[in-house]
Order: sequence, then C-alpha cells, then structure tokens
Amino acid sequence: MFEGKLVRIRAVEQSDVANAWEWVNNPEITRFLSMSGQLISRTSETELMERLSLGDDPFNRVFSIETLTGDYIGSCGLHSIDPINRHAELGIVIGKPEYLGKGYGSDAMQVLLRTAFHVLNLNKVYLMVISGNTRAIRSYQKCGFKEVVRYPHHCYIDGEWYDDLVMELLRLEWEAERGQA
Amino acid sequence: MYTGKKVRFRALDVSDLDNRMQWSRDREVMRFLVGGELPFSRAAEEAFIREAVSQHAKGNKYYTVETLDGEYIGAAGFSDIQHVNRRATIGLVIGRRDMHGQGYGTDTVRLLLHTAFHVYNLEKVTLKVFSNNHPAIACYRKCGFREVGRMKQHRFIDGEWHDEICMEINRSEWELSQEEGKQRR
Repeated sequence: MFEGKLVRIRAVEQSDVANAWEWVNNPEITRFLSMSGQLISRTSETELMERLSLGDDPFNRVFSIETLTGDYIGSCGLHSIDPINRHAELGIVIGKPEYLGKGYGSDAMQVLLRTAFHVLNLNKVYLMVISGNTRAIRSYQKCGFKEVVRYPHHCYIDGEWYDDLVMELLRLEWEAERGQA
Repeated sequence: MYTGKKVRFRALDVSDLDNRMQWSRDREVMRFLVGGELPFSRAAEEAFIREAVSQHAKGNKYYTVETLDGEYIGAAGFSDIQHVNRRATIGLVIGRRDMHGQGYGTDTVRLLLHTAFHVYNLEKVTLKVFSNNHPAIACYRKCGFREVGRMKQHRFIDGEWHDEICMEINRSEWELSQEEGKQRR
C-alpha cells in the first residue's frame, strides 16, 4: 500500500532527527520551501520529530520517505486535511541531494497520492510551489497537477521576488492519469 | 481605533461575545465562512475570542467593526501577515444581516486596505472568497481586487460543491484607485 517502485513512506520516527538534521539547514534544499531563510536549531528539530512520531494529529499526516532498501531520503505529508471539503495540502522534500533528479520524488508523490485518495478517501489534493522551483513543478505536472492560481511577486527569497503557484489534482483526474499509464 | 467613512475598527474583545453569537447562529451569514459548517457553543466562541485576543503578535489581527455611532456590525481582520513578503490576507463578515447592501462591507474592505498599506506598510493584500458569494465578489472587484485563480470543488456547502476564488491587490493599484477617486470628486 505504502510502497512504490523506488521508495516507501513510513511513520516518522524519533531517530529521523539525525537524517533530517542533514538537510534542514541546507539552503540548496530548503531554498524554495516554506521554511526558506530560517535556521533550525537541533533542539527544535528534535522536538518536531518527537511530536510528529506520535502521529496523533488527524489533520496533518507526515511521513518519512525511504528507499526500498531502508535509507532515509526525505519527508512528505498531507496537511490541513479537511474532512468536510475532503481536500488536503501536499508537501514533499527529498533531503538527500544524491537522490534528486532520479525519479525518487515522483515515485514518493505517487505513493502519497495513493494514500490521499485510496486510504484517506479525499476528493482533491492541492499544493503550493514557488515559481523558481522548476524541478518540483515539472514533477507535479508529470503527476497530473494543474496550475490553478498564480500570485505574482509573492515570495522574497535571497534577494529576488518569485511567483507563488497553487496546483491541484482531483481524484478523478488522478485516476484517469493512472489508467493511461 | 481606525476610522473609515461609514465604519471604524476597534480591537476584538470578550465583550463582543453576545453580538458574535447572534450572527454565528445565522445560517445565511455562516454559510460563506470557513469553519462555519457546524454550530458551535457560546463557550467555544468565548475560547476562540480569548485565543484570538492573545494572538496579536502572531501574524493575525482581529478587529470588531462598528458604525461611526458605535453600533456593532461585524468582524474584520488580517491573517498570515508576512513582513518579509510584505503581504497579508484579509477576512471580514458583516454579521448584522439587516445592514447588508448599504456599503458597510465596502467601507470595511477599504479601511482594511488603508490599514494594510498605510499602517503595516505592506505591498500586497490577498483574500479568498467562495464562488457562490456573489455580493462579496462584487464588493472586492469594486475595491480593486483582481482574480488570480480559482480552486475547484474547494467548498462543500449545503450539498453542493463550490470553487474558491483567490484575489489580490497591490499597493500601487490601490494608490492609483485612490487618485482616481479623488479626481472623480
């Protein structure tokens, strides 16, 4: 259920703090994430992992991504899960640079979308992405996400203004994409 | 206190509880609000106000809207104030349905914009509105907001799916509309 061709998603464990610590302060990884420009202390990251490992928030489901051989490579989740409107906001990061651009992120996306639609029974998944994050945008498009909102000059990152995009994917669209694949 | 042409803002207070409970039981008002799907108790509303009042430093601002004579009208405020990105999101509700359609909402939006640009020194204001809330959409357009996109099937209200429309206005657009307003007068 939670396994793809290259990766699986699993619950966050307290021990993930050692893995997460390697990328949370790496600007090459976090540049276009919502945490952009922030420095994270070891203490706050440890507290975050301890809290996430409880898995007791029904409106925010966070997972760690690992290869099928069990190497931690990143994190993903479904946030602001809305049980009446049946949608959630997707977030994902591949924290280990050596796994970027090799299909691990796209594979994790498919596992996460299957979780959203076939486990949580949601109707729609949306996400926000900064216009400078072209690799992520291509990956989202490949999954079937469509740009529905563009806020021009919305995010100031390292001296430059970027647009902020909302992309979304309805369950029916995702199922149609899968049928063709 | 911030003062417009028809309305003024003061800080939200626990003493607004009775007035807020009035409109929070009015389905015609609540059906256009995020989180308005289900009824909630007086105790829950009081807890919300106490939390909101204590949150002033955390990127949210909650105001009570009243007429220039001090009569209660509704609520307005900012959420997600981001100083690095120099923008914020507005929200408002004219809770008193007997005061709809008389320009109080429009003046509330204009006072929010004035506050955003001239007090908080922001460069952009955004908002979200349900696609079936036609009077609100007309009001936002009149105030200079542009649609930047639309999230499909985002709100399930009384048995039907509706979109959510995202709108924004820049400070420069707002300043231009202020100038044009002066010339017309």
